[in-house]
Amino acid sequence: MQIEKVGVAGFNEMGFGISLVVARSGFAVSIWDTDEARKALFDGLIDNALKAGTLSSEDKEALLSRIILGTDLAVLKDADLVIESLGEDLALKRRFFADLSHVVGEDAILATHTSCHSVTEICQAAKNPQRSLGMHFFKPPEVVKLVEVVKAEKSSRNIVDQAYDFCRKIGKEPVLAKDLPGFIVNYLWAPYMNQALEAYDQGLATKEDLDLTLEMGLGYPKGPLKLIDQVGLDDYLEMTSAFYEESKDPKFAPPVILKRMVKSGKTGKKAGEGFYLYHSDHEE
Amino acid sequence: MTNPSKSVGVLGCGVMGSGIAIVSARAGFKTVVLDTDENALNNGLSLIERFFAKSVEKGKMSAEKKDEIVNKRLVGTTEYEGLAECEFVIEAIFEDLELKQKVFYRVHQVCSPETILITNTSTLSITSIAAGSGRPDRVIGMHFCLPAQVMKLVELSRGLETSDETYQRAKEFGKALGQVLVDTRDTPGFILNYFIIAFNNACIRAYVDGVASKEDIDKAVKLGLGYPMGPFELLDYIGMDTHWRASNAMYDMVKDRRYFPPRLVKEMIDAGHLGRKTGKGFYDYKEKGMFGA
Repeated sequence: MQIEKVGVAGFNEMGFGISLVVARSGFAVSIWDTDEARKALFDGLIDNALKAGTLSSEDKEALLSRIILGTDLAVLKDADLVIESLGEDLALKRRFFADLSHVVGEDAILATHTSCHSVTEICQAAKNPQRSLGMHFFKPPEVVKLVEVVKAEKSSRNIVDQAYDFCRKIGKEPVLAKDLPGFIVNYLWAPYMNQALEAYDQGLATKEDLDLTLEMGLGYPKGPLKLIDQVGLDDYLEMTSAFYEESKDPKFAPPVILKRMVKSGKTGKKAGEGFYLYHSDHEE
Repeated sequence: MTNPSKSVGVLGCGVMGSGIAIVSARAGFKTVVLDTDENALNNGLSLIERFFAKSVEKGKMSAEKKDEIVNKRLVGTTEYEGLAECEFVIEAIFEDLELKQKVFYRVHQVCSPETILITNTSTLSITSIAAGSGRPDRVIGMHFCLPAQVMKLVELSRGLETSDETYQRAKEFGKALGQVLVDTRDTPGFILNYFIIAFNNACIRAYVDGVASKEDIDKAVKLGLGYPMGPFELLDYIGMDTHWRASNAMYDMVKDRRYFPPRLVKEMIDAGHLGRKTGKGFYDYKEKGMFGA
């Protein structure tokens, strides 16, 4: 089966970002979600791309002609592949997979973009788990080339191959991941981040020196404390807690400092304060 | 202020010692390189000379400057007495506590009371090295990164008895060398090795456990996290023997399983798959040997 039409679920940064990447590669994309109000985010994204010069006004017309937004699940009915990027709510994702199974054709592939939950648990809600799998993109999807293709317990080899093919067609580099907490990247990154948070809390070095050491010494693009401020401490706490719940592996156990900071509202750049202070007029 | 007319001693002429000697001589210090093994000394000195010759070839340095450094500023010696005039002595010898203590005590005997002894240890305790030196208040840790002649970062750590004056003078010296200093505690691995050894072992374990292929783990780490090298590329560069020693040294001190090297590391060493230097590690390499200029 040839993938021609692609569906995306989720009127959010990630859903729209993925949609743009897919549409730019020439695919027709239908984007679905229930909240009409959040459609506006999409226009903002297009405006930003125009301003940043990553999208020309001529290309914009062609791009928009391939994209449909709708709040009726029926907009996804002809999709050969649907990428689900709804909020990190397991019940919501499962319900979507179940409902979607009745709308799409027998041959459609259902892919979930989740960071926190078991891909298998989501895929099992589909009528045909053999044709379901995980496709984990990274922020911002327009820039980061990596996609973790996650084989759920029942995903067929053929579906995995098709997902690989599709990734390459949209200019991405697929890697094959198991359905483990964090797949590959977050499986390795979360323990490192937890270790950094604990070391900082124990006074190993100042935040500036800790960040600088890892940036200069190891060539990491951002030190851990700068990076988590950008990711959002609350989102990170949710993720590592989910990994810990799933595995009971102490490397994923959320450090005390993380909970303390989230409870006090220091969730990072978006809140104006995390490990560093951010002012709206002087952004780091 | 550090007086550049004074000299700097570098103990040990391996890859690290040579790199530090390059940094010191390039910054304008008279640099005395000590290695009691004459062959090792000559190897090290020719390594240093080749580095500067390459700098001239690349147009980064004039031939006159190179000659001045190599012929006038840089001195090799096999005798401790050769370090007598040094204001700072940096040791970059094998990671062995007793050996480092013994060597520092010898330096202590020949140098002036003002001389500061600097250890470039990456995993041992500054306090325990200092304890055997005869002058624990004038010992401090300055951990350079490999290759020292390229990497600007230095982790500065005080032992329990390091004096404020020693700390201040070491800081000024580090700046005079043109390095960027970060302050860290005298805890195993300081910052860099505390993180990278745990991370590398986690990656090896993930590969052994079948989380993904080594190629996919490298790709995921580079593309997903933006790291310049994947863990297996990095380990091949570091060398499995070096990683094994550093992991065990860390594990012995902290008894934290993150540092315990997975079995595969020992197996690779036994099979001679040390990495780039043997032509085979996690990957195969056509050309053996170390990094470029």
